[in-house]
Amino acid sequence: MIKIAAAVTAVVIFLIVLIALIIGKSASQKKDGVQAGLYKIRSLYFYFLIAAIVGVLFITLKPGAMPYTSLQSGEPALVVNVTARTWSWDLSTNQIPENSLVEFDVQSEDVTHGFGIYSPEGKILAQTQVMPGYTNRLRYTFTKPGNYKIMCMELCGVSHHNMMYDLFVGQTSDLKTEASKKGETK
Amino acid sequence: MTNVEKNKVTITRLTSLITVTVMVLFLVLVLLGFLMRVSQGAIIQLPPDFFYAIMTLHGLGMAGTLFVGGITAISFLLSKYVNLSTGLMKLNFGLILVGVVGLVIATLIGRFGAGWYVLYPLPFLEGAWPRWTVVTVIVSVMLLGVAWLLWQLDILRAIVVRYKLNGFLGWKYFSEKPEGEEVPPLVIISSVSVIAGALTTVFGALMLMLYLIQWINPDMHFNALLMKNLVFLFGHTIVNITMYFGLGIVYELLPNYTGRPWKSNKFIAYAWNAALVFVLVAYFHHLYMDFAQPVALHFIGQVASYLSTVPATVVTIFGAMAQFYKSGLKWKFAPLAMGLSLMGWLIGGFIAVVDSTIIVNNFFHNTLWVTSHFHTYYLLGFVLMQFAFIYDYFDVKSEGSSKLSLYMMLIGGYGIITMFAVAGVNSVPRRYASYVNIPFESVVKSGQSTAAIASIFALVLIVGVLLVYKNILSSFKNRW
Ligand SMILES: [Cu+2]
Repeated sequence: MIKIAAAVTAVVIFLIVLIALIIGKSASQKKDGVQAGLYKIRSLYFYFLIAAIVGVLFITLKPGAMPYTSLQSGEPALVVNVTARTWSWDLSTNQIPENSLVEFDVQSEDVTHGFGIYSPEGKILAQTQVMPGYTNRLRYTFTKPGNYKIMCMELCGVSHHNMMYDLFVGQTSDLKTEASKKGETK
Repeated sequence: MTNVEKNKVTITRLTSLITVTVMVLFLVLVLLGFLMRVSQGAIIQLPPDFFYAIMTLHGLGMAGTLFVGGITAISFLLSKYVNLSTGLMKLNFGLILVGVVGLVIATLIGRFGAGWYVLYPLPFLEGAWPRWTVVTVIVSVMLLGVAWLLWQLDILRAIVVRYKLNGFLGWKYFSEKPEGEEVPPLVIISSVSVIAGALTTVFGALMLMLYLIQWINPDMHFNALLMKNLVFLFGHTIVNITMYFGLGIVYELLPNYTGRPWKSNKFIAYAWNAALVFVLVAYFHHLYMDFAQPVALHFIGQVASYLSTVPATVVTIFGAMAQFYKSGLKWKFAPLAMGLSLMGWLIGGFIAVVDSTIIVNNFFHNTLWVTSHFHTYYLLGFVLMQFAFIYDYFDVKSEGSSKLSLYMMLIGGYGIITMFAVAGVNSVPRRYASYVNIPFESVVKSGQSTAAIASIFALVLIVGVLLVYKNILSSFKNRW
């Protein structure tokens, strides 16, 4: 998704610069026909733009693709309770089975934080805000084992940039039994 | 001198005074930005509390400074058509100066560092910064809010007095044969801007009142989601209408250089009325990652963000192309800056549209991608419009160094925003005082190297801005 977004952006910027160069380098022509020609392109562009907007909205606004739990079906295999506070994370478990739907129920004890899941390669995979007074539910299915990280994605004070946590994803047999840790969160 | 003439002299003096103040503040705030990038690039190391404090000042300061620069330019240009209150303008300038001093003291001395958006309840986090800094920031922003509200209401009053209810938003162009005197696009754009701005400033003021209540009585608490909606309704709108002020400058001044009229018609009327609606609901895109927000509002946010491209490109960009295309104009500083500013606005806008897609925002929210977007908007859009206005206003002679200064700003500016975008694509979070402790070497490297390279581009930008200033100040006496 990131790569597609970046590539589309680069192409569009290239087109914008190209058009700007063509307009900027155009030779002087004081006749009235100049504007009429542009306005013809404009009506074409208008219909193209409307079609593009409708099309892209249709593709990108599919409820199932949204990150919002209320739009998603299926029951999570594991619910992880997450509590954030300045400046640490508390997870009911950080041993996550691969290929199963996991739900993170995130809460804050003080200010707003951001719960961001980073892949072992350092790419952001999913995130939700951690707002005091609310429980935000983020669902994710990890398909690869490895050492994932939680990083804070919302400014929460002077140590915001140090607020991280480990997340281990693997086959159930490889995970440490953390039964003792469950329910420990305040 | 008659009263009208006196009024003109006063408005001109005030415009010169505020414009120079804006130029000084802008330069100082750019230097703070440079300092932040140098620190993130690990060339020097600022203490985190100081980093977040100057980040807060940079954000609040830029939003405020550019807004004031824009509304001042618009007021001067509007004064050709309508009668603005000079007394009120003086009062507003005074209030703004006091507000600026308050913000500088609270951040640089008190180290208040909750960010420009003072996300509730972060300002009240115990032990983060002295208690006095919180009330100083609240009251300072309130003073700015009062000044902006009064200023915007005065513009609205003056416009309605002259152009009446069927004219001030260009509604009369909806009919086939509009009657009465012409309404310049600048007037319609200004009406749209100040209506959206005044309305949302009221919501911003309400929010600040609640902050003040909690400051006085720490046992009081408010709903964090409501507060976040309020701050982004206010902040998003203020930033966007600053862009609109810039577009007003372009609509008004560009025809002087191309020799082609740019008159109101039904397209312009439809476009700007639509923009008024979209700007007020598009702010929901700032809250996509708040899963507690009703999902319908997320959808509205994306649809409105997408639709806002229609009036912007179909009417404004095509209108501008019809101005430039084969016009044979001489590429002096002002028209060149205006053309380039529209390009920056378009590019910045597209970066934002990409990010306003919910399934993309999932990956880009609060990464440096977002930072890339609004720096393009501001630095390569609005600031160029503002400088075009200033050049035109002081009647600066376009000599060789004028173009050089512009190109240096472009190289510096596009370098800065490219580095932000690259870092965003590499998942580097925004608002990190330092990348050192990020547990991925690739992210640390990307964050630090893009910041270090951006510092060099920032230096090029700063030299460009200084060159622009040198040329402007040599013509300052033209308007004093
Ligand atoms: Cu944080």
